[in-house]
Amino acid sequence: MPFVGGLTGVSLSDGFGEDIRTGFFSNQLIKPYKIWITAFTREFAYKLQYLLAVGPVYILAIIGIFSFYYSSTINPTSIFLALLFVIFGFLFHIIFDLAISWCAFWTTDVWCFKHIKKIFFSVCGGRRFPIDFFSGSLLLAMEIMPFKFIYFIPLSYFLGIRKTQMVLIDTISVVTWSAFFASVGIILWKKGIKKYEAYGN
Amino acid sequence: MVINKLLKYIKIYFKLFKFGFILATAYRASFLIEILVELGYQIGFILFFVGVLMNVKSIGGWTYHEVMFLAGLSIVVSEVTLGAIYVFNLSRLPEKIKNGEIDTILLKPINSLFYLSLGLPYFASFVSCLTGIYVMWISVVNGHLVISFANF
Repeated sequence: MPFVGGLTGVSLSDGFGEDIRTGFFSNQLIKPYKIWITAFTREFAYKLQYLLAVGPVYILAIIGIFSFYYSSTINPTSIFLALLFVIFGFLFHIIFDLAISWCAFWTTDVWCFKHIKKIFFSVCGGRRFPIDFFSGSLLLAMEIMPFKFIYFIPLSYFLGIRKTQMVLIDTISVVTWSAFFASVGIILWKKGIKKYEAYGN
Repeated sequence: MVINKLLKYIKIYFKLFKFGFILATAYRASFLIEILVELGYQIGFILFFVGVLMNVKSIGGWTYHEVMFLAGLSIVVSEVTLGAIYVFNLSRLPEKIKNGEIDTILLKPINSLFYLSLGLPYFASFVSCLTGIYVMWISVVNGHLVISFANF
């Protein structure tokens, strides 16, 4: 769980929110690059650093655990699907976090972004407990929402709990949600940047 | 003598409580967001037990309503503790010491430890502990739990 969370986790909204609130964002606006590309490359670099520094420890721990507890459901296909959905989850999280970041154009309470994200990911993302603990309409709601792609889906594929027939549906779902939040992010950015003003930075 | 001192500090605490409330509600939107965030955490906490107990009838002999009562009690205790002592007080104490901000508090004619630990309450916690009380009440009513002074 922490290994997957480390790979899919993104914390752009804390930094961007604070920059917009304090007016420090102006420094970035005048620079000759696109902010979303910078955000993406910075997060990508963090992930590489994480994989190199922390990854080996987690991988050794996972190998250690599975040498005692052999599970026939874990195979090269399940590992590949888990990695695929880790990448999807990471990309979705960046897009989602950018959309949240631009809300800072209208609010000064940027501290709440990380808490709101934490609440949604812990309950609806499967960090606190697997979402299939639920049943009926609650399970349906959790399945429809996109937060499961951060923790629950990659882990389910890794453990072989989720059927491979679901790959196509999950891919369509994560792409659709990413497109939706990208559109929301673009609208918020266009409206917010017109409203934004700062001085003395 | 001790009682007089105790009464004096209770009086001071009520004054600080009132001042803290005025300070917290000065920015209404911020106050509402604080409450919503606290409620969100509690809903997550409650949903965990709901999720688990949807699959099993009891945990170690504890039924659904008993577990929910315990969850409610846990919310009340943790929120009151966090709100009164931790969020704006003890969690910021190291930073205050590092920045030399406790000098003015040390000069005041009251117990410095009292002021540093309880000086500024976090009101959203106090408001959101009502969720815990509600969960406890629902558990007692629906689970027909018998609570008497002997239980306490």
